Amino acid sequence: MSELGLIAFLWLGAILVLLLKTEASKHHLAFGVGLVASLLAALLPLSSFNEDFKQSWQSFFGILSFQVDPLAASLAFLATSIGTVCILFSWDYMAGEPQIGRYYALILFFIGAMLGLVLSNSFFQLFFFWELTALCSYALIAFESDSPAAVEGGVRALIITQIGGLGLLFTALLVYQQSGSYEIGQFLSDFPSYPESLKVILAFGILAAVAAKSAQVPFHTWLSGAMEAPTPVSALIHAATMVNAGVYVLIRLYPAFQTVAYWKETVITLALLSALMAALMALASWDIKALLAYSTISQLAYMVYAIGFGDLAAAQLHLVSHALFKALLFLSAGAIIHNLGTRDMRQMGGLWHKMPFVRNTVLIGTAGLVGIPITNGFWSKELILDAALKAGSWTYWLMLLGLALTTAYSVRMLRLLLTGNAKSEPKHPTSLAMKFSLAFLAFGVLTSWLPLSSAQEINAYPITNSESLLDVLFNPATYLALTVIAVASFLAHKAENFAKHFDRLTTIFASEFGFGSLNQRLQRLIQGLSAVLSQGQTGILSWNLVAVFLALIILLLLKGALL
Amino acid sequence: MMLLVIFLILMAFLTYLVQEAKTSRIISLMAIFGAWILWTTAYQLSTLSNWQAVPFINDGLSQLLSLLILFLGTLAFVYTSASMRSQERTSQHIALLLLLMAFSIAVCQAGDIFNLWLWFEALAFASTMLVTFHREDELALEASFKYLIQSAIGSSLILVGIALVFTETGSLSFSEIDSLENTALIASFFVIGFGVKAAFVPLHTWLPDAHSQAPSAVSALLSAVVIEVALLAMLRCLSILEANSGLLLMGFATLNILLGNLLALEQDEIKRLLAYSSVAHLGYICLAFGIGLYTGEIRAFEAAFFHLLSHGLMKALAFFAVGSLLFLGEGKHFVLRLESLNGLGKRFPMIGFALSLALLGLAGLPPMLGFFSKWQIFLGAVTSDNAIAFLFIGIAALGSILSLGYYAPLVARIYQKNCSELLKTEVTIPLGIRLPIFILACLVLFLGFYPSLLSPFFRTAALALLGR
Repeated sequence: MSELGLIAFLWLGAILVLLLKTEASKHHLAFGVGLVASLLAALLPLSSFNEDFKQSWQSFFGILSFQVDPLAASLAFLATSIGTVCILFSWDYMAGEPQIGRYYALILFFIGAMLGLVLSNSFFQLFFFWELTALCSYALIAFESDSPAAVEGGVRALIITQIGGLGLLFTALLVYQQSGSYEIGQFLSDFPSYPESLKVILAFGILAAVAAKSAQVPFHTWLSGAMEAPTPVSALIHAATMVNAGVYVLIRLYPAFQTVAYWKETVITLALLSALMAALMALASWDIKALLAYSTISQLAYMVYAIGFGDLAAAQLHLVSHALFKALLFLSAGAIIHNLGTRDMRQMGGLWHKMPFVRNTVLIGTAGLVGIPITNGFWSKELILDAALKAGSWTYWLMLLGLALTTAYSVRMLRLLLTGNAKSEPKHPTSLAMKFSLAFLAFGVLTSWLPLSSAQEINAYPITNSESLLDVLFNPATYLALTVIAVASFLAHKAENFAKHFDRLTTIFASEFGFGSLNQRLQRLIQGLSAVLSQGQTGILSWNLVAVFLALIILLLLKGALL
Repeated sequence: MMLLVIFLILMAFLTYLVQEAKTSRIISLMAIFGAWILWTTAYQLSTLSNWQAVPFINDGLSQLLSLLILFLGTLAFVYTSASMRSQERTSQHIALLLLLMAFSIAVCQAGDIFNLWLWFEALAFASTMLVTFHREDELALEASFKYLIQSAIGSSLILVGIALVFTETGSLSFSEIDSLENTALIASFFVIGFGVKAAFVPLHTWLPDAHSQAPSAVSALLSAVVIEVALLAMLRCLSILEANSGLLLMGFATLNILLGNLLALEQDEIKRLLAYSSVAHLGYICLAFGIGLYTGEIRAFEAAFFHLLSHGLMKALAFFAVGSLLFLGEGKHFVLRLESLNGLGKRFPMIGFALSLALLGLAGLPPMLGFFSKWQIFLGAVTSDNAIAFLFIGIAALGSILSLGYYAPLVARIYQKNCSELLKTEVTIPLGIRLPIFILACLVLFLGFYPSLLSPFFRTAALALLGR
């Protein structure tokens, strides 16, 4: 019951925020609700660990069922705490916004939906909350609805995730048809007895849903469009929480699908493609938020990759690490954007001295992203690479290349942001609220691996491949990876004019490997079809009647076939 | 139930005769109040009654539909009386609204085919008159003329079907007819005849004009109830035939879904967009019925009734909310472009919010009612375990995603910061308009969580249609 209570608390908070009058009171209430919800989410495991909550709700939709296992609990805490940090950050970032009530209400509503998503133990609920997070994501991307780009980005995000979501929808329905229940726990135990063809449909249907939600190839195009959202929203929804939902579902259902033929191979291939392609796109991006979005795609691919090798613990660890360091990077970028008023990295530079605090957080975040020791990203990334190496897969070398690319785009970003001459002066010092949000996340990046490494029971899937994080330290592969990072950063630093030499390549990267224009072409095709059909609607009575009689004649001719 | 129809018709005439706006409002208020009382008393009984050789069936189907019609009719009445304060011909308009309610309830209760046809013609009369209410507007006249002609063609085709039934069996009663030959021929006439009125693609061409030119409360009723009643009348008539028309209905439904959504995509008139959305949604309802007929899955029938109700509430809400914008135009009738919605959420927060609920619900997003009813349709299709049903439902799912392409940008418009010219006025919207919007918004938002409030209705209605 506590799960439902927590969601209801957040949603009530959202409604109250809408009703309040002043900007300050809305902010304080939203922050307070977030803070209390984070505390409650931290306590969630105490109240109902290993004790599944089930209640018959409405026979129409099966049983209302929640479960709090360590995976769900850690993600629930992540969603509420990063959500609260983002609300705090918005205090200055969104200052003066006339529709601030709607903004905070949507964020709180989103956090509630995200909690529902990770805590659900039924496919019906999972899909319900899955769509709800997509709706919130749309509303927040299109928040600046006067800008056509924001609306288009939002609609594209919504439509692409929905197309993938069909996989989840039909999985849920087919599971119900098969067993008369939506429960995931029961599904996992029943799955071996399902017919083979159904197994294949379900496994690949879920994969489509996951790829769309976690912005993997070929569904990756929506994430860069989603960057029209206010930056705290990008940090929360499009880096730390909602995009992880796909990975989360994959982890949860992996035990069932691992036996399906070619499924793991497909997962690994998808991850490889996404990791490398997205890293290349990041290398060619001038927009700091787009760069971070591509980096998110690439890092999510690392998690998917680990799942392909069955190393769920590594995936889970990287999920938490990534949520923290990417939220940190996004918020740091937000602080810069707020200050300079541009997202174009060519207009930035010289921030090393101009914004020292943000410089430090950007450095910590980037260290996490690249995987420099003692940041959380180091441990989780090494574990993922280790899993591939232990499985003896040749793809390990490609992922190592991915690591080199990650290093390259990170160094490029740092160079553009921090060095060189300042192109625009910071308007004002970074505010206390922003500093506090950044400091909290930076602290998380440096320490989040500590509890996860010591307490095995926090992991839903204990680390089995490598026994403990200590092994990472004594693994030669770790030092190989670190060497790759060192060499790559050296090269990236030297090759300052990389982009100029590879003009044609960078245009390909910047166009998202043509997928962006493919989307546009598809959109134009549908609009064209719509326009052609509209021409057919002459509105002339005689033609209308012709249609009626033609339909009658066709029907009379076909009567034998159709009836 | 029979009394309900007769009572409403009598009160409608009384309202019309009074002419004076205030008194006619009081009379019609009494009429609606009485109708509700009659509905609750008749609700328990399941009977076949006869009045002067006009048989009425009171079964699950007619109970569910009359509940929906009465409910939306009541809201439309409140809405109309508030929005027509300054206009003449109020009493005629309200009288016609009462007639529309009476006749559509009667269609659902007709006990034999011929009376069904008669009530149906009466319904067409009432709705045509309502469409042409803005008689000074050429477009409205053109719309109602097209509506009248196409609907008459449809009626004559139905009549041919009825004649064929009668010559073969010598009977017209639903309960007496069995084992017909030539069923495919008769079914074709019924499907096309009723199909014109239910706006099956490509017979739908009258609908966008009629539904966009009518006053908003009437548009709400036409979209939410009248075309669905035509579909149910068709199903009643088809139920006496041996032939299984499930596949045919699924085919038409898919056409409706695809064409309705595609045509709505490039529309820039709000009410026309909503009208095309009704074409698509009739498709979803019809698809569920088709799957039910084709596979015998009762869950699909229940889903169809659920979606019928849910679409009715959402579409009425959308038309009411859009109509409140027309109210701002000083009683004049004009074409409402998409731009007029800009900033609605800022100027009228409640109406803007309600309209976004309706639009997102129509797109099938949670937590609105439309999500739950669409889920039931999908569930019905999947549990029927039929490959063809699967194929059709897959197309429907894609159509549903396509519809986001026009619903979602509309919602974004509502929350723009710059208000449209239309909204830069000091005019306030009266309670009589806000109240129906508020009630419907609450239902659209919360009813989905308690489907068991209504699911018994869906079950009995489904059983009634199956003749069990």
